[in-house]
Amino acid sequence: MWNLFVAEWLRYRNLIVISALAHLLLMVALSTQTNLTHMPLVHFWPMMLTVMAVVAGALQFFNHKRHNNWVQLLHRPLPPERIFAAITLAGISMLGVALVLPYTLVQLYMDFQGSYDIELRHYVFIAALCLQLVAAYMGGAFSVLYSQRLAFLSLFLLWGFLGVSMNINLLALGAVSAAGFGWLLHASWRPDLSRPFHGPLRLVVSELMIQAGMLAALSTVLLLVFQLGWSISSTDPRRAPEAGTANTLMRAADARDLLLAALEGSTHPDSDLLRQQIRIGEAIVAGVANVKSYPRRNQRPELDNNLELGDQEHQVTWHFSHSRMLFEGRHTVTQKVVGWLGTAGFHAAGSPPQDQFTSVPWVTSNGAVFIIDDGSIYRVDLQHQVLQLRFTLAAAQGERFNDSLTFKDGLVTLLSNKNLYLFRSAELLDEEAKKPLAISARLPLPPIYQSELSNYQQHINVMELVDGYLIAVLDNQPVMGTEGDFRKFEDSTLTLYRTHSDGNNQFDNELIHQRSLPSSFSTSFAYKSFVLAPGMHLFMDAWDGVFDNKAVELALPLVYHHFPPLVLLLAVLGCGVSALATYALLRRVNWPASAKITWIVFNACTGLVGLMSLYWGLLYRRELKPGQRASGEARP
Amino acid sequence: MLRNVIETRGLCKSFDRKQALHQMDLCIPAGGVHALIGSNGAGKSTLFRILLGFLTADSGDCLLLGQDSRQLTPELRGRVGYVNEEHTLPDWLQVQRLKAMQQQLYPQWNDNVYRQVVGNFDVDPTQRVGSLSRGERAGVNLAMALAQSPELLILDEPTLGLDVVARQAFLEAILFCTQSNTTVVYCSHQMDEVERLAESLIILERGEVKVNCSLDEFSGRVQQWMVPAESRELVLQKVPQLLSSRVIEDHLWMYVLDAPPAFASQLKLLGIAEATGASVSLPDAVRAFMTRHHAGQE
Repeated sequence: MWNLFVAEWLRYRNLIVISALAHLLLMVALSTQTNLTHMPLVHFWPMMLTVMAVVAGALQFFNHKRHNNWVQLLHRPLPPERIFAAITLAGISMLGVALVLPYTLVQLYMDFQGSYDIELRHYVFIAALCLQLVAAYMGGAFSVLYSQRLAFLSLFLLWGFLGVSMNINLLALGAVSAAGFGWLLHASWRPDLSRPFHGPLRLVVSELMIQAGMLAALSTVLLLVFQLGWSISSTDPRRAPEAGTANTLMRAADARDLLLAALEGSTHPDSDLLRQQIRIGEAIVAGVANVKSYPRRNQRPELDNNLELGDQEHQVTWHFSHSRMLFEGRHTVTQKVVGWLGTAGFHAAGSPPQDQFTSVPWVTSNGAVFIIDDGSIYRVDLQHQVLQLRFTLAAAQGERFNDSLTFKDGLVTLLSNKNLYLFRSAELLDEEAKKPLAISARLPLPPIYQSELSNYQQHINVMELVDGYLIAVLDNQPVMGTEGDFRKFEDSTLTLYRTHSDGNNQFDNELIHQRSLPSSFSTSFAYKSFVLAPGMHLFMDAWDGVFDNKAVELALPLVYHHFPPLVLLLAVLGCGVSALATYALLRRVNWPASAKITWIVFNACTGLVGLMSLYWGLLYRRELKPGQRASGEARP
Repeated sequence: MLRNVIETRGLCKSFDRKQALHQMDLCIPAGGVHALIGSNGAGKSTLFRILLGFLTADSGDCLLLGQDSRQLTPELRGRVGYVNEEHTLPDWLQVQRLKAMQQQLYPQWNDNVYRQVVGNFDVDPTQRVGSLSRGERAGVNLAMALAQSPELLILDEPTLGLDVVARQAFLEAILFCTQSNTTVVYCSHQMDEVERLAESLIILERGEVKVNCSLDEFSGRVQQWMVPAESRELVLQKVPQLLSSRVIEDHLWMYVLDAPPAFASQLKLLGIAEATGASVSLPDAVRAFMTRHHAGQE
């Protein structure tokens, strides 16, 4: 085994040495220019390394797979497992040297030099990156080795790494993916490469991965087909939406129109009065809020956007340290620590102060600079090095701000996971303000906003009344959005509230009217992937919901009950056709009965995508023999 | 001691609509050199792949050294040598390193055999395998296969593309091997090599074993007869043993399989009085046998 390991290293030694040196030189060059661990490039670096790991695994195993090489490799007095271990360990160690080692060395050097604040999470990230690369390498190798041409589609699952924001989650996902791909790769490592998996567990796991990628690929192709059709006929629902849809309102309506639209069909006794008020009053577009993400402690370092304050006058960059939960100020030239910034304000260099932030904040600026953490808004005066607490949330359980602070027409909107807050921008920007910032309006939002990475877009339009505000909220979930309740289709509502404050931060919010807006997209477009593969759709929705932490609650497929009956009927029909056609195809191949039953049941659940996967697999392995019966008897 | 090194029963394998092996029954006894020949696509490579466990048969049984070829143990693989026509070896390794690696794998490694065989090819041990000539490469490959002291050595067209000198050295090495207890299955299209090395002949055709006997026996079964050219139509219609025929000047030269002792009388009964029979060489016999479907074509 050791000999094989060494032989494999000798085979690729030149390539590995050159790659490692080139990588190291590039890293060193970049590290002299910027903080390597936080540069924007680092966001794409892991993905680029992942692609290289996939290619490395695929190439290495392709070289071994070619017929006579394969015989030469496996026809020796060694258990296949030991040969597998030698080849795979050699590949992984080579990846480590070429891809991970240069990165680690440069980071260690930066840490040793003390020019940047390198924290434990940066090293955890490298460990997670290692696992990610191992998974990618195994995936690349599996896609080449397994006797199914579409096996490469399983690599689609590697996109999942992009959606993980926490190092610890990345470690877990890397470990699970590496173990999963490793298991499949090991299972497909056998002398006869032409045989597919027949064991139920291997079959189901491999097909789930392959068909998930297949569904994604098919959906992309269909999307392009739809887009082509829309472009030719000039009926793109995004550019030329039908009247009355959310897209129409978002694109065309001004604030007043949207407030009026929210009143359409209202039976509220004050409807007419409100309509008149809207017509003569001044409506404000309070902003479009794109809820992105909460910065979290020990998140992936390359996600550290908006965690830096640049003070050009004093030549200091304040960077938030996750390990100390303080902003650390470093001179931009000497890179020496010149001070600290905590919740109590600025501190001179020395031992870190105790006024740490309780959560990882984010920084925004709109003329003035603000630091916002879970429950507080601080105004930062870099010139005079003053930190001013402007607002603190009442101690409501579990409430926290997200990164949606928007200044527009004299109003500031800020979303928490429970409420919409309105402030007056003049008050927030006032440098001389002594009093805490007053809330203009606080509007409870539906529980859907508790989701961390909601793709909802909110258009908030406000009109100031004598004793409060009229607030129209247009919630528009994009057609490809994802939610915890497994719905992935455009779902828009336009809601009108009237708020009234008693002056003591107590608000009386009245729901005036709520209307659902029809989708701009056709039924066939919205439900295409569901009809193609209901089972896979459920699996992928669950994956999104659970692993991306988007789920409000773990819902059951019963949530699909509100789909149009025709869509449900077509989906069931597709599953039935898939199961019957699978049965018909498998009558012509010589497989064990258990494998056939697994395939039929599996395809009855996954739908037409499963049937396509089976058919292409049979074609690739040249297993379709016209007229041959399941008994396995050869044709005369 | 094992009686048959290779044994297949009712072996079937097809790809799409093409039947590569059809109900193949084959027994190769232990000892000696057995030539396996057949036209391209006859199923030789498929048979080897199934024998070594790199392909699964659709049906039938296949035993290699008495073990089911679907479940070959590493220990058994150590007893079977395999040399393919490409002489696949790790190009990036030095010959001496490759030899050292192989030597560690095989406890019965015979270094004398290795040195003797490699000596015929004048190979520099510090050279990288990738820089060897085709002949040297073949020599190293064969030397390593023989030094493993295998019970069974499968050679799949090993002299393909070798020059005369290299081929000579290669054949001498195999002859050297026949002095040991190794059974050799030799697949080749070169009939002179087969004639020189093999004791028995197996002819595969369209996935079936058509001939499995000694060389002499097969040569004895094929005869060449010369009859007047005008009797051509008669011969084509009435001589069932006809393998192939050709008209040269005024005579029809025909190859006949398993002609009875009274074949001349049989021809006389057909009205062909002037018939002369002769024995044929092995290459001619095999060629006539393998082209028998084209009998009558000139």
